[in-house]
Amino acid sequence: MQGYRELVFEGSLPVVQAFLTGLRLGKRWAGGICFSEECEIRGERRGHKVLERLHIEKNLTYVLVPERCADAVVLATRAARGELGLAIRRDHVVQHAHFTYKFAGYNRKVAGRIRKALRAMPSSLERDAAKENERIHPGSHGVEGYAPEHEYKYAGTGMIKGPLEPLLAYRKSLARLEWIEVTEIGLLLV
Amino acid sequence: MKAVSGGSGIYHIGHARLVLPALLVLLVVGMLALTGPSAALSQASSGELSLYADAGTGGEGKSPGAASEGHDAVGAGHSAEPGSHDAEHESHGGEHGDHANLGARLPLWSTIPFVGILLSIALGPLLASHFWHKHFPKVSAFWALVFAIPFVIIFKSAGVHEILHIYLIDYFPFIILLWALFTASGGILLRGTPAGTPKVNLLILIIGTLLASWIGTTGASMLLIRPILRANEKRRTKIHIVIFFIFLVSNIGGSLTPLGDPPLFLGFLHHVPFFWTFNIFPHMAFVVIILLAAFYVCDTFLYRREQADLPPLGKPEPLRLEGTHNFLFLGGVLGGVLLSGFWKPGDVNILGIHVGLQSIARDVILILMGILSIVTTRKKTRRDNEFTWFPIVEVAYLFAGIFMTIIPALAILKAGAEGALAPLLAAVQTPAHYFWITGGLSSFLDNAPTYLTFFNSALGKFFTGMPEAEAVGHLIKDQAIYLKAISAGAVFMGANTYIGNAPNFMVRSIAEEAGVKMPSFFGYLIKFAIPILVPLFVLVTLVFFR
Repeated sequence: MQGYRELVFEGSLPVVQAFLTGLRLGKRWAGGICFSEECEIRGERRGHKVLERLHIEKNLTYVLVPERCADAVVLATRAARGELGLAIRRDHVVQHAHFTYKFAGYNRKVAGRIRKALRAMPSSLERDAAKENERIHPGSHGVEGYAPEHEYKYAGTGMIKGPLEPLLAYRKSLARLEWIEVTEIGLLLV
Repeated sequence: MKAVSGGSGIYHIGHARLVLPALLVLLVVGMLALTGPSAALSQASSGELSLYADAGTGGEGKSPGAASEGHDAVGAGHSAEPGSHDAEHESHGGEHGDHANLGARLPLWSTIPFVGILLSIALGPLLASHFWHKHFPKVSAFWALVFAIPFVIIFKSAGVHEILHIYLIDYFPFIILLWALFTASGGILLRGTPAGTPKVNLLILIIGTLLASWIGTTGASMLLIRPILRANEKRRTKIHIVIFFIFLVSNIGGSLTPLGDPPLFLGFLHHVPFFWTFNIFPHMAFVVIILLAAFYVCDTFLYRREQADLPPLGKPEPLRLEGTHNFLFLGGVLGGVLLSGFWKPGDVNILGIHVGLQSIARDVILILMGILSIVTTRKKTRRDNEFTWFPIVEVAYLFAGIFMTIIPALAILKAGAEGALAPLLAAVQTPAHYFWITGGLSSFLDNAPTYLTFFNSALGKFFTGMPEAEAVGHLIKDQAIYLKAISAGAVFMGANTYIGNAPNFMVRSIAEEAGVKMPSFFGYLIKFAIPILVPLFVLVTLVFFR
């Protein structure tokens, strides 16, 4: 499993995107570069967004780059600084990534699909603080105007953590199910 | 014991659940006995009841009257033209003044149980759904007794009279109408699965909106929500369909007749003519057309976006209506309600309350229609409709508490500038104010008592001391815009939240059980109601209530 580094560029998203796309094509890298904003990765981004709005920070773009490509990106950025005005402000190794999820389903068919999706977690990831609760109230019924309670409810929460690449793919597969809500991806940086 | 959906159990309402209302009735009857029912009755009919003297307030020697057609029970003369829906009021002009007296004497804190029950209904399902589901009858009885016991102890027979009055004149007809509509519309089942295309969805929404005024928002919602969900089962984005369904079918569509939405039926019980609500047609049409257009644009956009990766929608299963004979019973319900508006045979005295014979005839017809629906509709049809009595049992329990606790609020409002809510009346001035305050409160509290509250506040504001029937006549003739604002506010803005109107929760629950991920309470409010409905209601204000 390849490691990742978070590189914080000083420069706008389109310029950084164009620069890295050119670099990737030139070096024939298969891919793996992702932009925090597009992949819903929180990283350090949130706090800095506020600072940017207050004009305390400059325009920053957060990029996750595979470890094997990171040094080349750093060197190329330095080389292109004069022409593009790009600079790398911070460079961190991503130790692991994580996101939380919560779900609720009100019929057994939906519950089955949620269970199947949760079970499909890659072995490189781990689940933490998982809670699930299946509750059946035989006396309740859907058609209730003032005291609504479902006859059946399957609900739960949890956190998934692990390497970024499989985590991104797994999060995407969970988010496809409308009954599961996933948060942005958080990063543990060193 | 609850109503259950399986097998023949759908017709069961457990005995245990009848204990609390029975206790309430016993309390009232017991108090009546303790405080001298014969005196109460004779005084009531002679119009010389010394309510305020009894209460140590040195009053005028008359009962407080009442919020609606039974004022007469304690009124002086009986010279009204017989047969009028409101003959009693017309014949007892002085009573309204007595009602105002009660309102002038009651402190504002006497409305705490009313506020308490409305907040319980609003917050119970959100904050403690399981507790609320199990114990809401007890909560309702609690608030009712918190008000009723001291009220009867202090006002004695006149207090009992007030309670009997609101139950006989408002509560029972209200519950009977809802029961009859619910029973008959619950016997109609729409089978089949239409194709979930934007045009079909639009058509279902139009039909639902048109039906809602005639079979009630609850009936129309229950009839059409499952077919529209089945039609769109394979669509990826369905939330907007349910949301617009709630806006149009569960709320705004019900604004044309008193059968459509409970607040308007309460207006009808309080002398607003049946067809007067047609005056809200331009307002309704304005809102409905904009919402339908917005829905069609939004649904078409989403449908086209999804089409590439949608599984084939499958062959639509033709639609088929079962239990269509129930439309006859719904027609009977309409006929019964209309009859009570036009036929004026006089009235009878029940426990000191003058009840119009036309009202009794209406209730008998409605009960008959409901019974005929039960007897003639196949049990399988109701079972497949997932019909249970629970929703009507809910309404019966909760409105038993609401109607008990609303007594001081109505009396205070009717007292106008002399009542403890005079500052509210002074602050609420223009039709736009009435539209927004009735609507704003209807968004978070039940819209039926909210309507009644501001309906009375308008009467108190413009016609303090005038008998209700006469005052409503003047309101309709001289200040109709206020009644339109109150009616439109109560009905339209019930759509603002899940708790604004009973069918909203029903539709949400059914959609969730069908696998649609519905927004939370605040999600609905922030993502849908505020961005879509609030600007629309601002437009309504600018166009109609400026």
